[in-house]
Amino acid sequence: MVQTEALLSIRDLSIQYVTRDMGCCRAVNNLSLDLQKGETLGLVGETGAGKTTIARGIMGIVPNPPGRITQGSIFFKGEDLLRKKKKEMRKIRGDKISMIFQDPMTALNPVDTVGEQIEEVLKLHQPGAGKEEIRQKAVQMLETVGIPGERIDEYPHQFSGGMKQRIVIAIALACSPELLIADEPTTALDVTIQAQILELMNKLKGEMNTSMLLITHDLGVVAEMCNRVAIIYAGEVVEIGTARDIFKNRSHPYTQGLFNSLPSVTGEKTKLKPIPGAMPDPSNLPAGCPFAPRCGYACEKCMAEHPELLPVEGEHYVRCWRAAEEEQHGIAAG
Amino acid sequence: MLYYIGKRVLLMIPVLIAVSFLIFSLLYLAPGDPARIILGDDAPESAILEKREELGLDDPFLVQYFRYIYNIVTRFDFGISYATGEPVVKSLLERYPVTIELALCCMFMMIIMGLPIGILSAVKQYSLLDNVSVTIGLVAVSMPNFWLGLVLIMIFSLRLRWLPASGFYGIKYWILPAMTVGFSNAASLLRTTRSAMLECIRQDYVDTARAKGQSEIRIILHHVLGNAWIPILTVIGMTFGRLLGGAIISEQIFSIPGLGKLMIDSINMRDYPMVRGGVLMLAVSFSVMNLLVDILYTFIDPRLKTQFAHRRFRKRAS
Repeated sequence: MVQTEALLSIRDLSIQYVTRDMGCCRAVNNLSLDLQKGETLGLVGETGAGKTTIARGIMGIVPNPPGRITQGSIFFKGEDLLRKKKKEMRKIRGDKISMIFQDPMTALNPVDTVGEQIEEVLKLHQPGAGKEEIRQKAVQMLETVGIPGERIDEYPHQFSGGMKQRIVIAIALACSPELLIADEPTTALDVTIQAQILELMNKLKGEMNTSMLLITHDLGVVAEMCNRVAIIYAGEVVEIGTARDIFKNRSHPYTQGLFNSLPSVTGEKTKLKPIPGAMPDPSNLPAGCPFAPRCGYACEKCMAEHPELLPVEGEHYVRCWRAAEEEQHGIAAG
Repeated sequence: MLYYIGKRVLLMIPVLIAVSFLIFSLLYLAPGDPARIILGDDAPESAILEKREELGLDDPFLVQYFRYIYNIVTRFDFGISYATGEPVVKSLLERYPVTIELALCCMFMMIIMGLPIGILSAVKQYSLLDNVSVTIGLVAVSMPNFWLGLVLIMIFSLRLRWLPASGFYGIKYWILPAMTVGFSNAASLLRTTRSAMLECIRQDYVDTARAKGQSEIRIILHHVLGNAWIPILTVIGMTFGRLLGGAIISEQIFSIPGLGKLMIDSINMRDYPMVRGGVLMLAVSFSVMNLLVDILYTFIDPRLKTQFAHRRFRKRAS
């Protein structure tokens, strides 16, 4: 099944980490996602949900060993990335698909100047370009992300955290990629810088007509950036829909729990309601719904049977027996 | 930078003074009368007294010490060897090229064996190659030099008759000593390289390089090794400094006339000026290598360079 209209189309992707003492850790399970050209899709979930592993899977940089993609396919512009040879993947990485990492403090090589690090990706993907041309381009990229071009010969430690993340963005966007994967790009930054970085990313994304997969656990970031949102729990999509669907009509109890654990600015001052319990151990996932042990609405069916991703309304899908039933009742009643 | 180098050179002076004081007092306190050592046990008492006078041995300790330092500083005079009657400097300088040559051979062996295998075993951590090389490394580190030297002589000189067992007349003569010293040092270099590489190999910037589409070999050699140099260079530099003071045991086994053998012979003959000179030579070589390694650090890691700059500005500000 090749989706021609989607830029990126993930089908039944499973990624496992297999270690001798921990056993088999199922980080991503039968995950399917579509990303249209020009849109921003948010991947939201708590720590350990498998968000970063999905990103690495798309990039083809799942650390192996212990990581292994056990099944599925990742279609990028109609071609399956998992069938590509290593050399072909190297041509795609950094050029067509690039990635922004979580922590700008450690994402840059401390012994190379920032110029060298931007030039590195340009040299790899524009082999015809001359030295001077590449340097010009690197200066230009630096200025695009709001850093004076004369700082090109400085080292990462001479920049602040926010500026380092700008440099990481400059590296990621240097070859005008068609898909940008941003793995929690603002988590390590303080709030005022976060807003600047998000604004910059939005602006450049528009200018370069890049699609974006934005990984975050911050629903505020989602609201600001994303067209569509996928809520990830235990390595699978539990709810997916437009940002509006998710914010206005959240159906999955986990999504509701995520929103309940946010402080409200406008409403009454109430205690935050955290989701009780913790994520299931990915090396020992329950047979039924993985969220059932933490879910206030769980019934016998939830414990026994793994729910399918069922439509709620239009593009809005949810992986929950109860929510789907309610929706059907609602439609029947209406 | 120049300021830093200058400061480090000046700091070497107290180190050398301390070493010279220590070695001078130890040998001063050692039993035995130098005059009697020079003239032999049968010499008449009067001749010994005369010799003591001539050598200034009756002067107070500090006077003797300062005379010694004064002669070194002003005339580069380390005294006269009791055994040969020749200036110590002459013997030391005669032997030094041999030691340098041996040290270079050992370094060569150490680096070609230790560095590539260390890199490979970090890249293929927990693989068969890694396990084998780490085990061999452990064995090699624990193997005493004199034993390995003798085993090598037995195999390659006595049994196979491929290589000479002693002397220093050409490349053939260097192979066994260089292997003996190089092997255990290569093992420690291997272990250092491996752990330094492993520390860097999981860093985020390595993933960044992968995400750029960089080739794996360049990632390992540039991004990982580039950040792992500091401990590796420390081991290389320290080993070289130590070897410049003479590879004492293997020089003895292979009868190589380097500084190490000179030192052992001098100690046996209680040739105190020679021992003092040799120890000082070792201290100087070691300090100089130390300084060179420290300067090299700043070329490897730009963060260190700014540290020095900051210190300088702080000084100026206060």
